[in-house]
Amino acid sequence: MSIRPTLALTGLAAAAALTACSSASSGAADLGSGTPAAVALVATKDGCAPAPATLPAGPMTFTIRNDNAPAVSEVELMKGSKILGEKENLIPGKTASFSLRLAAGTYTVYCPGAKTNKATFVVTAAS
Amino acid sequence: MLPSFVICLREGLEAALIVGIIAAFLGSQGRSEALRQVWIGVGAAVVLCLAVGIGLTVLSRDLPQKQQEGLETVIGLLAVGLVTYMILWMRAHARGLKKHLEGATAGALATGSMRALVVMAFLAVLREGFETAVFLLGLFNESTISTGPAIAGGLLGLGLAGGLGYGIYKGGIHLDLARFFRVTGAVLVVVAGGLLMTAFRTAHEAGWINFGQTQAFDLTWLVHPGTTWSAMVTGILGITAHPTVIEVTVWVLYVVPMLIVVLWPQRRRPTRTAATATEPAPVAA
Repeated sequence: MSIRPTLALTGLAAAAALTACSSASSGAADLGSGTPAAVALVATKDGCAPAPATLPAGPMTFTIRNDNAPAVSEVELMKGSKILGEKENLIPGKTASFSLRLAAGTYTVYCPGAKTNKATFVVTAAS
Repeated sequence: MLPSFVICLREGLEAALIVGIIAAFLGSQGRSEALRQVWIGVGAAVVLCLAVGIGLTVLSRDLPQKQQEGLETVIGLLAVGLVTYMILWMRAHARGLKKHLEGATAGALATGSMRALVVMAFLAVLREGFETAVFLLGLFNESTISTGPAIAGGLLGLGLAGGLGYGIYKGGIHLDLARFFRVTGAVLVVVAGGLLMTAFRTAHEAGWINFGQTQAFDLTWLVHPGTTWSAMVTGILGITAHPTVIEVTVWVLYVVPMLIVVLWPQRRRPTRTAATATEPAPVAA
């Protein structure tokens, strides 16, 4: 092994840093136009059912809060096995949010560590 | 206080473990200059992470989660590669190492590889640092969390992680490399296996891998989430309460062959037998 691994590592680090930096604005692009509808995801020891559980398709802001559930540290919004939105390191009391535009379909809210760690979120066709 | 302690302990350990292994490896080889660069790299990474954390907090922007997970995946895979290289290097040189320490140059690590280790230590801190900095600074804005104890808990967690990493370095440095290898070869394989498993988890969170995501086991009994113990197990071994099928698969595919390679008794190297064979040669004539 020569100087090559160093160069490769440095190059990859630079690439990784650039990806991380350039993305700060990409979140908004997914959202499109319109006022986002609000969905509350409160993680408790028992689960993380979304409120409301059903919304018409369009932009949405998910506000996540950990309500006294130390075993739950992250909440994910999934379509099948694909993660669409996620918040980590949610200690009890912490609030976080993410926004995205959702098409009609059935989604899953996943909160590992809660008694019932999955909940369904249904998006209906835009009215 | 405890929740932020647990999170910072886990994040901190994931970085301190890699840095500790690299420092012990360089230290036991007597590479004090490279070791100094490792500490500089770690310091630079901490400053960079704090700067990004403060920047994002001031602009009230979130850390882009998907890109952060992507970054963790790439650096995690690099770490797996480097630890694997270290394991194989130590295995190949275990025999010649004692000689090396007595002054021979055989078995010396190439300069390029050494630089790679220094860069890796820097990246290891970067990998967990952004998230940790954003997490800690974000605590100042939470109205429902008492900031003081939460920050104190987080700093304690980071301190303990740093202390454990320093312990790995101090413990490793006193072993000569041949023994370092025998003691740690198998442990390093399991650590690298954990890194690989974590990389596949973050790859899923980055949206890169979306298959094999069914839960393989429920390890809640072993890694009860939210506890100090779980932070240690996840931080060091990469094991979570809910490992998925793909995570378990790559862990087994990596750890089993690597353990066989490390633990299998080594055959005598040809050079060695050749050397002993030449000794009585003149007598034969």
